[in-house]
Amino acid sequence: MKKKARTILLIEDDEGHATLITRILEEVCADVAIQVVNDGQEALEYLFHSGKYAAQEMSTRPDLVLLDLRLPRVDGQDVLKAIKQSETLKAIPVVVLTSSESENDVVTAYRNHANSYLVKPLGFGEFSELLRGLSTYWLVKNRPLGNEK
Amino acid sequence: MSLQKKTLLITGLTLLCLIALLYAISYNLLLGSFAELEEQTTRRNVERVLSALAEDLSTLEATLGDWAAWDDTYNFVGGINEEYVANNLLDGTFIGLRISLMLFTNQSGAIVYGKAFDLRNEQEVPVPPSLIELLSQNASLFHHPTTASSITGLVLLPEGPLLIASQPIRTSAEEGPIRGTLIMGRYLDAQEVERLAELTQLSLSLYRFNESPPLPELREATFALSKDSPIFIQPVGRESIAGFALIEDIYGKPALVLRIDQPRSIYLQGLATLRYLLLAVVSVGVVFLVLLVAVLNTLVLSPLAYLNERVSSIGASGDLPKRVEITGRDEFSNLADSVNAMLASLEQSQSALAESEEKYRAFFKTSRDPVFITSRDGKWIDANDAAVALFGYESRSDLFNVRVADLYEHADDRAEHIRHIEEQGATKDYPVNLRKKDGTGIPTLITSVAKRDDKGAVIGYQGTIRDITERKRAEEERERLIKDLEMRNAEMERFVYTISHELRTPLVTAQAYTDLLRRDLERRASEKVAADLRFIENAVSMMARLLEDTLELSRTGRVMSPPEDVPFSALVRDALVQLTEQLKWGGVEVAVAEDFPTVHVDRTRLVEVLVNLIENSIKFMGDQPKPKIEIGYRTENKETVFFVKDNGIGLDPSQHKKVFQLFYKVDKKSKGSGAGLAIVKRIIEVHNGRIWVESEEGKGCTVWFTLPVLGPGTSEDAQVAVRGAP
Repeated sequence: MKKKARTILLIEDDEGHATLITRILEEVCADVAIQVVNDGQEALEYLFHSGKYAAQEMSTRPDLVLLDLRLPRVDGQDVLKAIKQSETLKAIPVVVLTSSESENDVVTAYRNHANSYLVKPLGFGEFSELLRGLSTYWLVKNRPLGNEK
Repeated sequence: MSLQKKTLLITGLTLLCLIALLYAISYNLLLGSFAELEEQTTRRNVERVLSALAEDLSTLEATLGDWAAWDDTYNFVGGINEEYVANNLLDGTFIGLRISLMLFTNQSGAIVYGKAFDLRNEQEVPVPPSLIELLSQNASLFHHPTTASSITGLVLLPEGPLLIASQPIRTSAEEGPIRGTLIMGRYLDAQEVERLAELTQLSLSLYRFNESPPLPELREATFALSKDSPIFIQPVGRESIAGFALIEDIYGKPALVLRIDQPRSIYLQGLATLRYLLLAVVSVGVVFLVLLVAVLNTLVLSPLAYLNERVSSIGASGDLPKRVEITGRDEFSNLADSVNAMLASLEQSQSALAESEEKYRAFFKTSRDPVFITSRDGKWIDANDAAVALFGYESRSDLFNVRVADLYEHADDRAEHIRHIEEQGATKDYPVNLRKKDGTGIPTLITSVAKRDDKGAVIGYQGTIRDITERKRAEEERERLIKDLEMRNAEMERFVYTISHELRTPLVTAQAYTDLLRRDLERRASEKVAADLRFIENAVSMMARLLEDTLELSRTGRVMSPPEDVPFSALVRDALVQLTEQLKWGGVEVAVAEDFPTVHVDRTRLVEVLVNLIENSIKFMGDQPKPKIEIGYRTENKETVFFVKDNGIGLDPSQHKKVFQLFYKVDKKSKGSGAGLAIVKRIIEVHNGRIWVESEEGKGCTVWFTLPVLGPGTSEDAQVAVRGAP
């Protein structure tokens, strides 16, 4: 696989989860750069190049966004809405990765054009399995829209 | 007009007509025949006079015959008997024979001897020359062809009309030859007429035909008489009738008009008869009339009048048990029986009606449901006590002074209501908002029907009113409770999801790192073990905190001390005492307002609220060199609003609502589960208060909240609600 490194934007407020997901992703897929932001506000700043990410080179356009829903400051659903309403960003697949099994959250997420909705599993093995499949599917097998060359 | 008068009038008129008819018929029939009879009698009388006149003439002729057929006369004319005149033609002869004239002519027509005599004065007069002249002009009187020839008749002389007879002079043996002619005459003078009148017992008079008649009836008669109709009858006035006859002279020319007058005794008798008849008929009629009226009075009118008076008096007094009494067995007694039967059934139905009326009246009066009857134009006709009470009036008359439309909360509603009733004939449970005397609204349901007159036009409305104030209140209460319950349910659902999500987060961490720890231990990657363990520990303590806060939240609202009246300043003091160390450590200045009002709250919980808010302010002071917290209140729209204000880092407006969500953390790294403000909000809401945030990032933050306050601006509702809280 001679491929340039892919960027995954992980939006996750819980430190333990962020560390865990980063660690698993680094294990299961090669050539992947993981950017972690801790709340909705920071995620928007990263994506729209504002705040501490004002400089273009500070943030790489992600190939995949992993989004938790319950975030401080700006809610995950609002971040999702912002991405999908943006002409430049809406092509980026957004996978909701959350511990909420609320039907309401699922419905709202798909209404906001989430590409997938996954519930964080219990157990490291299951988590690894999920993320492996996920990264393979979204980063390798799935052919995204538009600016993928 | 009474029956009696009518009967009298009709019978009288009929009788009058009959009498008039009878009179007309009998007048024409009776008087016609009487008149005819009268004319016949008159005619006969005229004829009698005429025959008397003829008789007179024939007597003259007979006398003449004796003298003309006599030898002495025969000889005298022959000039042989000289003594004839002296012996026979004496005055006495004229008187005895009642003749006025004797003329002897010879065969050649020359007068041998003539003598005229005035019978009235009994003296000889000269022979009238007019006669001589007449005779000379007309010789027929002197020329008799045979001895049996005889001429009689009338000649009209200026001296008067003269009856005349002429015969040839012959021998006593009636033999010729004829020696001359003997003429005798008798004046038809007044004396003669009188004699005729005596003879015939009639009133007679004679007129010359050619004389212009002095009397109108005579003129008429002269005109009517002719050879063909020689007799003419003419009534003269009411009293007498005249008969006329034409008398011709010897030459056949009309000479005299004979007139007889006689009383109209027959006609007058007829008239009298008629009058008697009329009188008799009228008398009978009057008697009949009187009798009829008397009979009518006795048999019909008086019982009728009695019946009438009786029935009207019963009708006027309404005394139905009274009865009509008529003895006898005619139609009136039958009628009386019928009237009595009718009265009996009327009495019966009246009492039944009164009974049912009483029944319904009692029902109407005592009904607990308001019952009404109103006119179409919006006036009261009747209402029961319940209706009076419903509208809050003292009495019915009090209520009846109010126009019905004014009892509607909106006066226009009545028109709409009426339209509904009239379109559908009736309405069931039609919702209407009415108004009490004091203006309070009454939600009601009205069931009513339109009252119509005989022609079907609406004249009013009646029905019952149901006051649904209580029901409405209960409905509203139920609705409020349902909404409250729904809200709580939603809250509970949210709560459960929040809990499950929040608990799942450390669980995922703990589980994953436990697996990792096992793997790291198997791979002997001991450098990672400490990190793994730290994650596990953090997750577990997080879970413990979450559980604790969840319990705390559930206790709030469930476990409450009874509310008490506490000066707000005391609550502030308690909170500040708890936080003395933290405030000192943070170097925070605290400004507290004076003259706080007294609040009615659960003291412990409210201190908790203040502690929480002040702690948050201390926590989010940031790099503020002069951290300061203000605690105070102000009155807005009669509502006391308390606040805790800081000059810390502030809060973005998008966070103002979120901060009260359960387990929401503005800063992920801060300690605590994020349940603090959720608990604060819950405590305030349990006290029926509201809580909100005003802030801008970098400009500090103010938390506002309301509480049930005593004293000025006290809200009693809030007090009651707090007392009623669990």
